[in-house]
Amino acid sequence: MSTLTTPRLSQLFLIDLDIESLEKRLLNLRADRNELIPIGTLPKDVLREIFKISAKDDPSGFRVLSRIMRVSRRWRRLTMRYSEFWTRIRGDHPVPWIRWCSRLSRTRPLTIDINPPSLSKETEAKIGKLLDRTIHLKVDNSHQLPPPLPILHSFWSKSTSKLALKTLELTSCDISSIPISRFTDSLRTLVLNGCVFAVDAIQLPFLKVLRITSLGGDLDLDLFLKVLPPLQNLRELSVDVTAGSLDHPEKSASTVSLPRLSLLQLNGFHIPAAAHFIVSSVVTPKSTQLVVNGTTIAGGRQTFLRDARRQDDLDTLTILRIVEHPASLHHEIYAGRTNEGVRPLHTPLVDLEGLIPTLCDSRFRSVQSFTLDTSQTISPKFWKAWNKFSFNASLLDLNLSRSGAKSFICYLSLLDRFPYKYAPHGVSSFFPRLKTLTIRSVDESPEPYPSDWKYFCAVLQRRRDSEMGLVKLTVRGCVLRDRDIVYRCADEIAIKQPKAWF
Amino acid sequence: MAAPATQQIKIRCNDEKEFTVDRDVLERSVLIKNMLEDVTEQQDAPIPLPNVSGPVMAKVLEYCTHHRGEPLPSADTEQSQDETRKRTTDISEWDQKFITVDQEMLFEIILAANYLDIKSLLDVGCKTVANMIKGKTPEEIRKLFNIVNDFTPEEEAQIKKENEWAEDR
Repeated sequence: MSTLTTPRLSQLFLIDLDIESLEKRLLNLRADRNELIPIGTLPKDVLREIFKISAKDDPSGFRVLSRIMRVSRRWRRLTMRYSEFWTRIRGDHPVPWIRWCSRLSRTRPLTIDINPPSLSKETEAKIGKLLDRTIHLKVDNSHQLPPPLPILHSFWSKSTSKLALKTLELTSCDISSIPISRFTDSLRTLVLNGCVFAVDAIQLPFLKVLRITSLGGDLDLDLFLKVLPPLQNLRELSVDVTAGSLDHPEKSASTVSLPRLSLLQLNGFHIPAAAHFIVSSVVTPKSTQLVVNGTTIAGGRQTFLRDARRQDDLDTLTILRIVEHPASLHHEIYAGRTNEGVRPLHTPLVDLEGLIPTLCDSRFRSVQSFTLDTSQTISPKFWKAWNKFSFNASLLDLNLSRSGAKSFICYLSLLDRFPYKYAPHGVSSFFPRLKTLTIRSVDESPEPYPSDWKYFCAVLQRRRDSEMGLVKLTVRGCVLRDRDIVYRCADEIAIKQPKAWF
Repeated sequence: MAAPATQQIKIRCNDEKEFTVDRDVLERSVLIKNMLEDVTEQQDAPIPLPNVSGPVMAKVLEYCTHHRGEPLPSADTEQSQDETRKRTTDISEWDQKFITVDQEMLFEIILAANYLDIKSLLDVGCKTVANMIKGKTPEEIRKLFNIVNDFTPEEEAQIKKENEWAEDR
């Protein structure tokens, strides 16, 4: 029984009420104060955009956002009420976070990234319940051999009408245990990374993007080409067999027509004529881009280039590396981290001799973007031939690497109506529509002379005066001595100076 | 070749400060561009901008003048721009120098960019603030922006629990 008398009790009660009201008032005052500070004046959509950008590159996928939520009540409210923040779930997220994602994403479609070996039972159960809402699923099975997890089994066994999956990315998975054909109606993008390619699984007439990287086994090219015909909606076909091998037939297969294909990308082919085999077999009337990267085409070079020329509607032609012999094919190996300006130990070789006839071909007249990435000294023949390249008049975007002492000045001569008198071959292509120019230094390229920079600025200024100025100029890996001059050369200038040279 | 003469437009800020600016510079602002399109006849009266002060407008005009002539983001490119913005928090060197101002001015510029509908400037401002937030603890963020902790004791207890699983990993 209380020993307090009634008047004391009521006094205590009144004081408690006062404390409660003062505490409430204090919190309100703090909240009011937070609205008056500069950042408090931002409207909620702007603040959310800031949070979104902050959280974007967070390697943990949740920490930045979780810290933002613990700053103030307003910030917490804004993050928790914005369902888009909660639509990306990873297998290594803390369980409470996954619980929040499940609740706060409401009914929004989800992106789920599962790395099975790191999945706890609790996480597995939570994610299992969310698969119905998942439109983008990434499964990385690289630390564990098949079969896949029970949750995926239960997911796969559901009827197709319940599955919303639009993008499926599988790494080191046994694709034969996944009934991909169940996603016939919904799936638009399929990425197979290090998976054994199971041709029977590809029955997806609505598929728009097919990317095959680091093949887990052999790719039978003949069989591969037989898989393609049903994929009549395919927009992008990217094949990279860097870590796999190819089994290609002796004689050419029948052609495959992919009427909607806009990007054909072939990477890392080590087997002679393999890339040629695909290029010559895939007929792409609406093709706009052909990207060939790291392809060895010894023995088949001329045929490959001839077949590449058949793609007459190209917008972009990117031939980054074509080497003569498998032994010469280097991956770019960087000393230390891949910082801007750190010189690769090995740099790409470009088969310039083979490139010239291709680029001179009149059918390439609509190419808008051209990348030449080489550490090779460019021969006089190449410089002279540049004037005949069929795409000079259409080019909007030019990306060039420089290595030799003269390459800088040669590039400049190309851009100028009046070629520099000291340029070795005095050529000029001018590129009347050019809007963006990127020059990257590779290898041990000597710094441009001060007079070269002066000429550089004069050329770009002349273009501006003729109303053909650049919108964007990027110079990487050069020590720039007089920034003020260069800043007058284009609307937007990005200069990345080397941090270290080895 | 001399550049063709462009139309000059007058604007008036909330502190009565007036600016006379080339039309193409002002048209970086979608708000002003729409206003100008709605006016059929040439008018001499300045356009009132009640939400922007003179010093802030001077900064905004500095940005617009530097970026004049660049293509404005259209409805078609908006989504891809959005993707780009999400992908990177890089800011060009000039923009970085431009936005190196005190906090009050930074947030005023963001507010003005939002009001005037200058997407690229808003983007630069948002990226700058996002970069300031990155890598900081809640307490450090509060200190940086002069925010006070206004959580209730119950919320504080909840946040303490969150700290355990969010930070001890």
